[in-house]
Amino acid sequence: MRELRIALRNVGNIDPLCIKDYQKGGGYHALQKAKETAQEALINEVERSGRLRGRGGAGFNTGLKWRTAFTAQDAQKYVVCNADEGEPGTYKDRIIMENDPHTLLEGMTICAYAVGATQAIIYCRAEYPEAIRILKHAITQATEQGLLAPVTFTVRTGAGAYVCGEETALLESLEGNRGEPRLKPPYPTVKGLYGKPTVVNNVETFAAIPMIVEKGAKWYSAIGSVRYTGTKIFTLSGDVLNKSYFEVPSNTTLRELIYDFGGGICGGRKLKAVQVGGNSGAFLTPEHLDTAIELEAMAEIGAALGSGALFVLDETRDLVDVIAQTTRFFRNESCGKCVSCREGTRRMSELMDKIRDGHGEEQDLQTIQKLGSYMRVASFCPLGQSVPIPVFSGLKYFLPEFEKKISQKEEAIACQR
Amino acid sequence: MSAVNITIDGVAVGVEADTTILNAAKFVGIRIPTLCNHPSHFVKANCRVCLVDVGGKLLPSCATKVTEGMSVQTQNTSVIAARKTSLALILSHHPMDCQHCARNGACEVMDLSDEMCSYCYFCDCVQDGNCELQDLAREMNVTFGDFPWTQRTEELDESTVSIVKDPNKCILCRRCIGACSEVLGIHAWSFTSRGEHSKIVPALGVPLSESPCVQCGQCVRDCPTGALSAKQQFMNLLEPIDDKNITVVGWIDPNFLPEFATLGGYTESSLTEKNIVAGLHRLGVDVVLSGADTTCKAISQIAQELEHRLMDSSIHRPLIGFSSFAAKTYVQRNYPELAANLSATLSPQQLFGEYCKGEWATQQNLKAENIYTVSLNASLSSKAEAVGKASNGAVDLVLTPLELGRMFLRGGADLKQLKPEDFDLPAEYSKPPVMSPDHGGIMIGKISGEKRQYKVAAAQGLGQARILLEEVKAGKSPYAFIYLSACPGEGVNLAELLYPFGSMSIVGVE
Repeated sequence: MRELRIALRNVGNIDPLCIKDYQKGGGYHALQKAKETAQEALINEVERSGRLRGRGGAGFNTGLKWRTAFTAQDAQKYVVCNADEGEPGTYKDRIIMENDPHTLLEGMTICAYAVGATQAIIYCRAEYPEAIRILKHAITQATEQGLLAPVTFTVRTGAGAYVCGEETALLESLEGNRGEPRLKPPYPTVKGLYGKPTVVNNVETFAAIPMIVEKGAKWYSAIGSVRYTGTKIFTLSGDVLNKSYFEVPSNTTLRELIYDFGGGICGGRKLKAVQVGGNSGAFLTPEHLDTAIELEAMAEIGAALGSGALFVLDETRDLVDVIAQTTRFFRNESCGKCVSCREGTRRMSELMDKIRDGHGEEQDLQTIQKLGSYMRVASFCPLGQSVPIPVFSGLKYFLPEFEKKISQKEEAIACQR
Repeated sequence: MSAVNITIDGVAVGVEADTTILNAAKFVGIRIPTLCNHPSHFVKANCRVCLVDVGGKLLPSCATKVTEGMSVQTQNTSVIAARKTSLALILSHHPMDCQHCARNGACEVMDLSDEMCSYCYFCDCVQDGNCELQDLAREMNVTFGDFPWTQRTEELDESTVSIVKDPNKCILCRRCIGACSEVLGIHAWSFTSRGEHSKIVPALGVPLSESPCVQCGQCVRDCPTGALSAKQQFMNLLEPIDDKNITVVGWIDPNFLPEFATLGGYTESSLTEKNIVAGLHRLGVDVVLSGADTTCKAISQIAQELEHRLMDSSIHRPLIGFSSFAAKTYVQRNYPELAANLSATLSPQQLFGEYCKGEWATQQNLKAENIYTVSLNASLSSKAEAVGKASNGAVDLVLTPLELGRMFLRGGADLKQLKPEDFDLPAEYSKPPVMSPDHGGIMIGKISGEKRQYKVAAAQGLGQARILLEEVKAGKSPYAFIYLSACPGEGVNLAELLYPFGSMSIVGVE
């Protein structure tokens, strides 16, 4: 098995601080080509690229997003790059920004040209000082050469809130407000930053753009699976041997990722579970390993592709504990806006802690089910809606582990008697 | 606006585009319960109580606009279950002192019997009976459900004279922020921390007394629970009532009745000030005076001030008058350079206090220290006014409609049973006619002076007041007189105020 590097094509091959290195490999040629194409034709091309779908997690059709922003009538439009990579176990955007900043700038400039924007902003998490430094350096270099004109680039940093990875919360944060999700509709492409049409795309999405423009939609759409064409970057962590990142075609299976790319489980132990897509992803079992890592295939087994993080757990891991920690994460990261998430994550975390600590009761499982189902449908934004996903997958595939914890309590009570 | 056709619970209705589901439902007589929603604020959609089913998806009806062909269900099992869970989650983290039975056994005065309990002034929530959360919990038969009830022990903010903030009762709906920032533009309240640690605090976390708050009370009015309330001071009245040497004099501000009636669930026709007079007598208040008298006195004094200014062009223009102490505080604090423009006339409440302890005391052969003056006032800032330096102790106590309602309830004064009684001093004036009940917007009028006409303006709410004041500051104000209310609908209106001029005409609202 070999990687297919599109977004990561230059990683390790060029000096990120040297624009000439990037240009030697054909860098900024795509931008020139794009500018020779009519805006609509360019958007058509992106849309035809097997419908390039956002690599941030939601998988929205990128071309369609651009088209809406292009159609919106406004003198001022914005292109925003979501580089607030806060999903635990995910570091693909950092790899791109630290190793190949110009591909991001080129992708964003192409987008800005396509939709008619003159302002581009990279919202990068403050925990990535190296990436921010390199990006700023790259912007200076490219600006000096006049490559980015007429687009002005700014790098802005977040203040550490996970929820600011949600695009409307990100926009609020950019405007200097409290990082909280906005009501949708209106969507950012219609009313985004400062109320102007705004395209918000992930780093990985932008990084794929230059190659799509360069080689054409036909080339890109031939890669990977039909429903989710192209490549996807995966970051492996947990009990897997190669805790690293890989860019692979989207028809690669979980098994190939964990065993071929990842080198299998540490210490020759057995795989117990794998969490796909970051903290809000479902825990899957060895039975699911032959599923392709594309959006729809994942959805079909009740999981989500998310950010492309794979968190591998071996047979010795206590899954109830892992899920309790996952839930705790959301409890700490809820913005506090809506009742469902603010109070719900707290209760969910309390219930999981209670079971993990051996104080659980049978009815707690029902309460979790009820509360989780409520949070899925009643929460304001995807943060609250996702909290039950890992919990529910745990209950579905690893119920005996929960029951064992609960019976421990009942045994303890029986002993006391 | 084009019409959008939707069905709500099977009822077909055509409404204007841009209408929310909540308002469309209201239009066909379907009530959707709400908590964080307030018609005069921005849409918050954070309480998750007004959820409705749109094609199998639950959406907040307060925030979702209608679309052509939309089919909405406001009542089905999933909607009800979600609403109940929202409420249960809130209640599981909310004090339960509104439920009277819940305090049995938890009462610090342990020797109180159940029967005595209902006379107790101490331990229930101030908003009991007027709380939207309580209403919904009862309506939907919800307690904290499956979740363990968690006690909160956050400290109260009692730093101001009139407003108490109990963070334990706060449900973080942000209506206070809507009132303060959006309606008034004061920005005293803000939202801080995140997740379960989220809190509403005065900006930068200072005590409310050190914030830009002018104690207008709009946030208290808009708070759905007991998290923001008027400081309860009615206990202070019990002692002077019992003291035979003290003459207790009550005074009813003209704006007291409407709010009192609303809170008590009376229709306007079923309640007059005379009913309140009877209740006050029943509680042991010796003398009750009408606020209409003093209000008219105040109005004529302001009119004199204005006439004086119009005749002498060397005096600062415009004259600035206030409907409440909050508005006055606002100008004094934010526009100190306009001090010479402020009206010197006392507020009706203070006129009453001075009259009682001065002229009236002499007439009655009473010593001022043996008179205890109680103002019944719907304007919260009047509590602050009474203890202010300028007040000089003229008014001893100010009670809000809620406080008096609770006193009547606990003191056994049933206004429905008591026969109306007259004020103890015959009213000399009658209340001037109200010309325009229009709230919101700056009202512009004209009055005729000796030779020419003068423009006058009134602002409903401090947000609009700022516009007029900035004009004055810049020396560009076209007005001879400006009248400021802190909150929309507060105090007398411009027309009443300029009644003495007779020829007042309203030319428009800006």
